[in-house]
Amino acid sequence: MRALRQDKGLSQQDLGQALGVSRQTVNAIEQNRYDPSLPLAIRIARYFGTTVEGMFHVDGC
Amino acid sequence: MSTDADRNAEGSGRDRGRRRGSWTVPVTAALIGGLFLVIYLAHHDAGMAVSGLIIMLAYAAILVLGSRRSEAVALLRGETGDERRRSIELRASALTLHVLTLVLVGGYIVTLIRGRESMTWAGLCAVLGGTYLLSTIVLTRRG
Repeated sequence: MRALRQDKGLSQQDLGQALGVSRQTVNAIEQNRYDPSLPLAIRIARYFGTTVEGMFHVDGC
Repeated sequence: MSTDADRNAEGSGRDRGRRRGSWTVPVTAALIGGLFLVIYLAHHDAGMAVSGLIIMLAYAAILVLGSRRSEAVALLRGETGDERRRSIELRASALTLHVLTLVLVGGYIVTLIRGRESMTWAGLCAVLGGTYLLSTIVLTRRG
């Protein structure tokens, strides 16, 4: 997600505002410290024009 | 029927509101400080009255001034603006419940062993257990 955000020239604050979450939450997702809920994952994928499985990978699946 | 854009806008607005409008906890802390002042003054303990007020006002000030710099302080202020913060709050509440359960049940048992009056502990344990039981039933039915 960090690469996609940086490609768009967005700060974590900008992306957080666009998604309706805090800057710290964007950072936590980028650092793999927090797994977003399905609705938020879908929102993130749609924002970047991709799919959830294209954005997020779950180990062991 | 609402579109995704509508839902996103609604969610962002609601979250912004939660982040901005969290005055309940600081105001409550200040009011409790005022309550300490009145109660301790009524018991002619000016030292405790002033210290209680100062401590609670300082806590309220830290919540208001520190919430922009620290996410933990923002959460203490009640700014649970997004799903991650709500998750943190839930986990912190669960941990608090576990510690309280240990303290209350432990306190009850120790009081029983010492043969002292234990109805206060028993009552607190009953409230704890009853609340947990009822909330589990209600939340299970709600899905």
